[in-house]
Amino acid sequence: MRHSRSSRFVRFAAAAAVVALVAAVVVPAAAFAAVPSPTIVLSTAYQTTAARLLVSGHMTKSLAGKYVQVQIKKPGRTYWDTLTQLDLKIRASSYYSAYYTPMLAGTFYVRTRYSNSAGNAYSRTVSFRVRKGPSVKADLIMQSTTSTRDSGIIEALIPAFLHSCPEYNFKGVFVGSGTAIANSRKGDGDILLAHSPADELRFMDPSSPLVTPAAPYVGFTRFKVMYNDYVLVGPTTNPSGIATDEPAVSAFGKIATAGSTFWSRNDNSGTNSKEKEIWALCTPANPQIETTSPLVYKSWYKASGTMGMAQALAAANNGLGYTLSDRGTWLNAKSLGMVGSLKIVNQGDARYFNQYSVIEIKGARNWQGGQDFSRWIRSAAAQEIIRTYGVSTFGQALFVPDAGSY
Amino acid sequence: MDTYITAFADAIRLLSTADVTVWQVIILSLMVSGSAVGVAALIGIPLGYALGISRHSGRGVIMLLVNTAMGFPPVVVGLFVYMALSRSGPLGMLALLYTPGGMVIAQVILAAPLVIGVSAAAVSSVPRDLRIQIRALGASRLQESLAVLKEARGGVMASVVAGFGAIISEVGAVSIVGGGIEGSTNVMTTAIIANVSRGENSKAMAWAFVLIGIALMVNVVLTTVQSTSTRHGG
Repeated sequence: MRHSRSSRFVRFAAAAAVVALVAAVVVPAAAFAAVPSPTIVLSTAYQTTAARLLVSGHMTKSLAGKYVQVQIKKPGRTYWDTLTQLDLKIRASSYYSAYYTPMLAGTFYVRTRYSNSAGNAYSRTVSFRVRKGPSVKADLIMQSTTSTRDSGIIEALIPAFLHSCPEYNFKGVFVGSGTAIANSRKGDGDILLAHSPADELRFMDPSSPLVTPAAPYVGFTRFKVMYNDYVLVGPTTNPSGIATDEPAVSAFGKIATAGSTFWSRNDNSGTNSKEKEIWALCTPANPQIETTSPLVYKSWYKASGTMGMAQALAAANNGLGYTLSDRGTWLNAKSLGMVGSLKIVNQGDARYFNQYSVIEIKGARNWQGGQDFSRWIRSAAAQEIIRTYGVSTFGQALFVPDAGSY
Repeated sequence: MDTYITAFADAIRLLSTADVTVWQVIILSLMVSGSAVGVAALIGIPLGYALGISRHSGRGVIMLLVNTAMGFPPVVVGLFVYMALSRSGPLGMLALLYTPGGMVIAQVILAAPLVIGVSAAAVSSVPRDLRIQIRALGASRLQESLAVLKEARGGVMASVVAGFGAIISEVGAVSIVGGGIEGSTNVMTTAIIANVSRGENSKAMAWAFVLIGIALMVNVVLTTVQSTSTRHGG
């Protein structure tokens, strides 16, 4: 009797444990399995590349309080893109919808990703086909710094990018980093490639005082792309007597003491910011400034404001002065014969490190293009192009690829 | 002198061998400025005619405004159009920044006052007796206006040609609004600046030649038109 009661109890406990275990696995899985798939309205039959399709869906009440994202895999791509830049929060019985223009021909795959604290769950994948139709391309506006144009790296990268992502019409606006960031704040850019870390971090910060109703856009993601270094170039006669391996701060100090001509781009570009950073570390600080208010520079400090890097080098070449340049533009200018009277007078200091970053912009008009470009430029193929650029023309690589997160 | 000579020689070679990059920029320039002056003519000639024949008391003030607008620096017009077309500006949703369309808008704003002002001057120099005579012969308003414009055709054509000459050689507006993007919004003037800043003077010289040639043609047309109209006693 005792034996049968305890054995029945043991059997009952074992069964309850098994049921509880199964329930713990099955019930959440059932909730996940219930992620509804998106529907493609306006026909799932053949559409053309210029068609405008409506992708929509309905999330049930039981999934409320979490996040949903519609993912789309374009023909020829191995990764999933998203239909909205930010995940959508699900309220009770939410509908979501987005218009989508295919722009590419082939088979597209669409699915919903449901996210909660436990992880992600995916719906069934839906597909639709697009027939080749009228050529439709989205403008992808990249705001970047002049050094990426003047060193020739962007010209080398763009054909490969357009081969990977042919649905974009790539437009590069090359201004100083500071201007590129200011333009992006106003929403005139879809992706930003800059080399001015302090300005970039401010751009990523939504609580910065620079975010105003007239300039409401901020950075969304920021990744490293490549780096090189700055070089201090000056006349071959080197009137300030700077040694090639002395610290940057003392080199700049020697220029200030000797009062030698120094050409500054004065345009808030990455190069200009780096130069101002080094001047601020001299003793006395900022020896190039005569008075701070009103801002008046010393007579040997030529601050132009309208010169790109190549132009500043030409001015230094002409006027026999010093200037800070990135190595890429310097080598390119040297190969064009523009800087015959200049040479590198100082290099190698850790302060001359020049990191390029790619920044997506939240709410940009073509944020999808920006996302594609950010992903592509960090891909193995693009990084290989960056690694080998310049070796055949200049004998050395102009940039070192270092794609990664911060 | 060497720099000039090498630049000249390279420029002539680029133009004569129909170098694709060089000609793409030239064709874009002509298309942007051509469309802009066409739109400016469509808007400006009727307005110039109305201003020319008007005897309203406010005519003087309007002429003053038109003459002031003629003198706007192109870069100032470019700045205003850029701020309007920027995504955070009032017309941002049109997505016309960094496109040839935006450049055409800026150039229309530059050319229209010229077309209006010079046409108005030409139309007002047509004797009033002619208009009275035509109306007396039973012409409708439209026929009257066409006859007056025909009489003033020298000045009206000159206004369009002058407008074209002004906008094809300006750089401030197109560079701010268009961004000088290679392959889509690079016109001759912005391309010259970009190439000079990169040290490639030969392409810049090629475009400089074309611009000088256009300026020459503009002046030839203007002088011919003026001498023709004076010969016909217009």
